Amino acid sequence: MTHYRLDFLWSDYLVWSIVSAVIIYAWYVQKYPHLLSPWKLVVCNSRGMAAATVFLVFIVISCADSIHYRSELSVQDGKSVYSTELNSALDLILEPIKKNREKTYSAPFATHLFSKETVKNELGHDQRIFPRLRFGGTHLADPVADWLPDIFKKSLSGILMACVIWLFGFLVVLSVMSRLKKTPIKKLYASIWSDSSMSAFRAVCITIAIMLLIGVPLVYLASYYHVFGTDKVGQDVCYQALKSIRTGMVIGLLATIVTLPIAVLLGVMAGYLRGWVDDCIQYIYTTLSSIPSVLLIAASVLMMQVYIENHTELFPSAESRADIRLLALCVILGMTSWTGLCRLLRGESMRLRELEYIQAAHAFAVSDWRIMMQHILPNVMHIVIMALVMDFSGLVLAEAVLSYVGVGVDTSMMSFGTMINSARLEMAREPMVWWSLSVAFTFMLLLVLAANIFADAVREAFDPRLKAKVP
Amino acid sequence: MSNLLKVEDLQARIDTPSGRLFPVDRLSFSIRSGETFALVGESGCGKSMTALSIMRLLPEVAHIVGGLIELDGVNLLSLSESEMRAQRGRRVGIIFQDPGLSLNPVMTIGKQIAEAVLSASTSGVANNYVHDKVMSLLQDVQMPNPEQCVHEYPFQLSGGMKQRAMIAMALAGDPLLLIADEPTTALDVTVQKQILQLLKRLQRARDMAILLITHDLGVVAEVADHIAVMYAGQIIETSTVADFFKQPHHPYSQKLFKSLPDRARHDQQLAVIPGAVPDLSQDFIGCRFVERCDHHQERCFQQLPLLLATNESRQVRCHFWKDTVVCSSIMPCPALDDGKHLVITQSTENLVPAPPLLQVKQLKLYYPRYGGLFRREIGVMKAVEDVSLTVAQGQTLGLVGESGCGKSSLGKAILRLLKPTAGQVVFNGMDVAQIAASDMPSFRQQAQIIFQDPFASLNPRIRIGEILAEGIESLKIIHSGDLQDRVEQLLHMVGLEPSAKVRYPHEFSGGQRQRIAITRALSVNPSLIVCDEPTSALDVSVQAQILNLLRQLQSEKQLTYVFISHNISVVRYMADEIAVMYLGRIVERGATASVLGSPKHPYTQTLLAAVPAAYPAQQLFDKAVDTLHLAHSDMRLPAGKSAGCAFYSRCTFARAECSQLQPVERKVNVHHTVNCHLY
Repeated sequence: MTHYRLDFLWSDYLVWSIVSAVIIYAWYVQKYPHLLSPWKLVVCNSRGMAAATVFLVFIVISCADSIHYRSELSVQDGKSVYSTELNSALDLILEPIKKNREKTYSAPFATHLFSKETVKNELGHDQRIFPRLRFGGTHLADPVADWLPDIFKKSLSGILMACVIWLFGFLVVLSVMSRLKKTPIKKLYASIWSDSSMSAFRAVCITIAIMLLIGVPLVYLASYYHVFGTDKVGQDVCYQALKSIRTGMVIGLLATIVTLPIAVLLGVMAGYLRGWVDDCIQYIYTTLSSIPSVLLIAASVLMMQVYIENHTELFPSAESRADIRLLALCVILGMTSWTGLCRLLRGESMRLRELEYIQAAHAFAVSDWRIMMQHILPNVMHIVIMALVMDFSGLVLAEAVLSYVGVGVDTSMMSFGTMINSARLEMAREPMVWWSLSVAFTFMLLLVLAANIFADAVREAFDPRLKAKVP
Repeated sequence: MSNLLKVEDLQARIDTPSGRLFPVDRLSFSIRSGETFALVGESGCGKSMTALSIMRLLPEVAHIVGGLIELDGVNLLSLSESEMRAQRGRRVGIIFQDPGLSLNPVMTIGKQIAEAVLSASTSGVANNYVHDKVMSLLQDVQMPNPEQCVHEYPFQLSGGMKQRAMIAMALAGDPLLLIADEPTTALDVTVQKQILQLLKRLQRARDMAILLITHDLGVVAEVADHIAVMYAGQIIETSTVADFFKQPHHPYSQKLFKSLPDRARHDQQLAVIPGAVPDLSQDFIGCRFVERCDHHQERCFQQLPLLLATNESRQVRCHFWKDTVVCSSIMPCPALDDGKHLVITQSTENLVPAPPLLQVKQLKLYYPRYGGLFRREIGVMKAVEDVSLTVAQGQTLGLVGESGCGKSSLGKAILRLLKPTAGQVVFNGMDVAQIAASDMPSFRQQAQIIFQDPFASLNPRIRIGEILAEGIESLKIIHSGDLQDRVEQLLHMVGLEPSAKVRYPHEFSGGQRQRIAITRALSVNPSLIVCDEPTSALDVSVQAQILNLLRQLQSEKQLTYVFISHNISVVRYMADEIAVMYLGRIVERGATASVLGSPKHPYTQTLLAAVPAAYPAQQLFDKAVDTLHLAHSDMRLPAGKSAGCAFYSRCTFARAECSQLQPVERKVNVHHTVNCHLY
């Protein structure tokens, strides 16, 4: 039994504080029916709930990747000596595929390396062949003949397993629901597939079914093959993609959280207070947005890199250095990308401040701060939510671009950007190494799309004017 | 004369997620050429849908599902879209309510009219033909300065000129039928008068039929030959205008008349039509008006009344119309009145004058105008200039004037929502214009405001309870009991359910929202309320409810009102004293009876003459003075630049001194002063 020592990084603390903030908000909301009612609408939106299910999977993966620990190597003089390697809970789960490194590229489900190597055969002659992989498909005696039937058989059993898991889960949920609602299971079952009020639940069930049907066979196959292939140094691409999710999430969430208060506060203040405040804020954001953003970000990142390298004593391990660099990147991205939202909010606040309910508030001597918070902010919230989601997607994509250029996250940190960056040269190769790029692309697309659709559902539910139109 | 437009059994349907509804339900009417046919009703009764059906321009969610529309022998519903396009503009033209929205802001007036001319003419035409045609159209609509106007953009024109340009565009194809959808609702009364006269004149010259859609019975009385009253998608009464105004037959029509405010009813409550227009998505069995009708009987619930002909030109949709017609006149008639007389302080003359609550002295309010490269201040816009007023405790001061005359600015300056440039506003002995920040809350508590648009004056994101609690919390009003109890008590006071407090503003109708806005103002127990056009966005029957409520609250709580309105009938009903504003100055003020009974200032006379009256008792001023000053009312107004009287450029009595000297206030009698050199 090895001992562990939890060793949280700064970004882990931030991730968990966001998670706990969401939980506290949810607990607060369920106490007040008027706050709860729009969320009930979200829960009834089938499209939104399907997206939320997908998004939740991404969140769970990033949370699992945000519990870091060091394992104990030995005990010296009653003191434990811990490994220098920082692992996360996700690494623990993915240990088999993390460890199974090949020599270099291999295609998804391959049994042989992607490039020829010179090996000596039994007779001692040099031969140029595609050597067998060290881990992928080693269980096959005759890779050429057995490969396809084996994959077919394993996928089939994976699908079967998925069905069993889904049915079991479905029955458990159904029986719990029937006990809670005090309706017989049969009746409940019939209502799920016919009742329009259950359409969101239906959508979640179907989404989970699809995810299981794809996921379980992949997980099953992953212990025999590299399902998404391997990269240049033989690292499993599936492992890389899963590790990249956290990086994308952290950048998307933290950078928007940095953006949000600046953009909202400055935008609403500029639009509502006008005068010299407006002039100052306008001046700042016009200046900021006229500097090429990549240049600005690159300069900031390089400065920060120099600082980290000059102050190594502050950052004991390579992981903490990479982590600080990630956080700094979030702050830099946030500080440079608030101008668009700010401008939108300024315009909308300028329109709103002339409205009569604002003047009525003036007639009650309501303070400027309260007017901004109580009257203007809720009325620009739809813009904020829309812009946030656009920003979240934009920031996840920006990270990819920046890492591609080389000013993004630390090279040791896995992210969609570094995956694309390392794959870019191989795109020109014939035959092409397509899998790194495609996997990064698919994962990013899923993440951003799920976030967009879910946010759309939230926005719809929170807009009272939309509700008025569709009773 | 034969029928130019024949509409038979027209039915339009809207599909909504909650079901189907019929905004126009089996409508039949016909218009002869050269005739003005008025379609009257409250908002949502299907008037505009009828107009759009005739143009075949219904919005996407609506379809025509049955009936016949025949224009000059052509069945419009059988035409293809491209054939229909040939009809639009050339045979039937349309003008809309807001000329500011109907004109393209980035094209000159000349180009827009030329476009209409080109699309209405069959084949290629010479350039100078188009130009001549545009000029002749502009002359037809009596556009002042047509040579200059063709090169101007819509924002450079006044509202009346824009509407003239719109009419010119509609006439470009010499249509047989002109549909005018609330053509004067967005305009001032003096301009409205001119546009109505213009329409009348054009009609006579071109022998054109006009389908006039309006909610204003006064406008109908002024210009229409024939009237059809719509209610919930159906015509409930149709008649010649002369007969109709002599005696409306349908209970709804009668109620509409009674809910019009006028001076004769000053000491009475207005008749209100209880309830609201029924939801159109239900299946109607009986009469659609039954729930709001005072005369309903068992049969009304069970059987839909047909349009019964009472004589050859008159039809009414009521089973018992003969019984409802008890009075021979629509004048306030004791037999039909509810007999509710308000207990309010009677005419001011007999009483010891109450102490003044509000005194405005030499108030000035200027808006700076910026221009140039560095947005420097290049001048001022004088919104309010040297205004002096006194309002006594418990009284109502009516503030009338055309849009842009500074009446709203004055109202807001009184409340210190705008900072006055100079002058004093003395409220309860303190000068509000120079008020210290520490005294502000106590002033805010005593003086409140009600706005015009009940949709813009309530924050859509906040629930009613929070809206009402805002002032109480902000001003820290001390009251016994819980805040929530207070909110419920306030809602009860204006006749709303206590459950309203957990709902959002969009769940209420316009009238209910205005009640909420009134409640909000009352939540801090003010003594003065500035009512800024509180009923101009509402239907006549709802307006009556709100006016009644305001007067009831006034008598209960000894409230003082500054009542701002462009609607002189409403002011006449509400106000004890009246002040007439023109371009930032007060030109005449005094007791309502005196000012409106014998107006002295030429501007007041013009204003009163322009108000369309639905019946003689509503007639505000002798028609003889009519049109004297009207001719100039459309001119672009110099922004108070001349040294003399602001009305100088429009006044037919203007003398040499008028352009030089600002007239001073002169006393007509104890209760009446006027600023004019004539007296």
